[in-house]
Amino acid sequence: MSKINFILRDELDELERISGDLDSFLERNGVPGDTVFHVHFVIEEMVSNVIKYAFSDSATHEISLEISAGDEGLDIIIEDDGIEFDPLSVPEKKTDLPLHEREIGGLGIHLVRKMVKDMSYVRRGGRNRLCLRIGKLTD
Amino acid sequence: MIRTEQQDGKITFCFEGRMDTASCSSVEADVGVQVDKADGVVAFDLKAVDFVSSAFLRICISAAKKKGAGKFQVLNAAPQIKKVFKIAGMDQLVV
Repeated sequence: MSKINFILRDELDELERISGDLDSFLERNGVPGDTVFHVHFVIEEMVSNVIKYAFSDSATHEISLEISAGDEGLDIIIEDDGIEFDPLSVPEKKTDLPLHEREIGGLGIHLVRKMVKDMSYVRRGGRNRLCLRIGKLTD
Repeated sequence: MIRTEQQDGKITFCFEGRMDTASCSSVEADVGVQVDKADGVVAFDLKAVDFVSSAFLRICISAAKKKGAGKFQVLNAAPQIKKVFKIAGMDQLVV
């Protein structure tokens, strides 16, 4: 089991700042290219949602991100002290509608659900804790 | 950061690098204005793009709605990016 932690400020460009270190971690753990893309995608969507919607005051907030690689796959844990939000409560999005009938937006969580094997959420001690698992790694 | 090329009434936007939430928010308005102005076919070329987030898919849906069927296309997407379009039910845009 190998693990990496990041503390991010609540600014969108933080995601680009960590992307190189994240790539190095995934490479060291032999994660194949498709899975690397999914890990980046899932982190990008869920952390950017937190940054955009979780904080209503002007204070600076920190978001904690932990990624661990083990035999069962990759576990991603995102924690923040923003307003309570359970992504699992968002209804499934219809992606079979013609494009001209689609709403613009709401796709991120839908795509994350399709890419992860498991997703769980808990609100504890005034913090949101979201755990995502991306399935066992194969080449 | 985005180059545009025009040929025979077709305008191609050439994106580069990570089209993540931050970079999309800085180009979305400008791309929208240029798509509005374009008369002919609009294409997004992803040859130099290695990552897209759902924010980029939103820019594509918006362009596809504005241009109508067959007048908007996504070119040169890497296999992993094509998969994202497929999961989103948007693979008909990818040429």
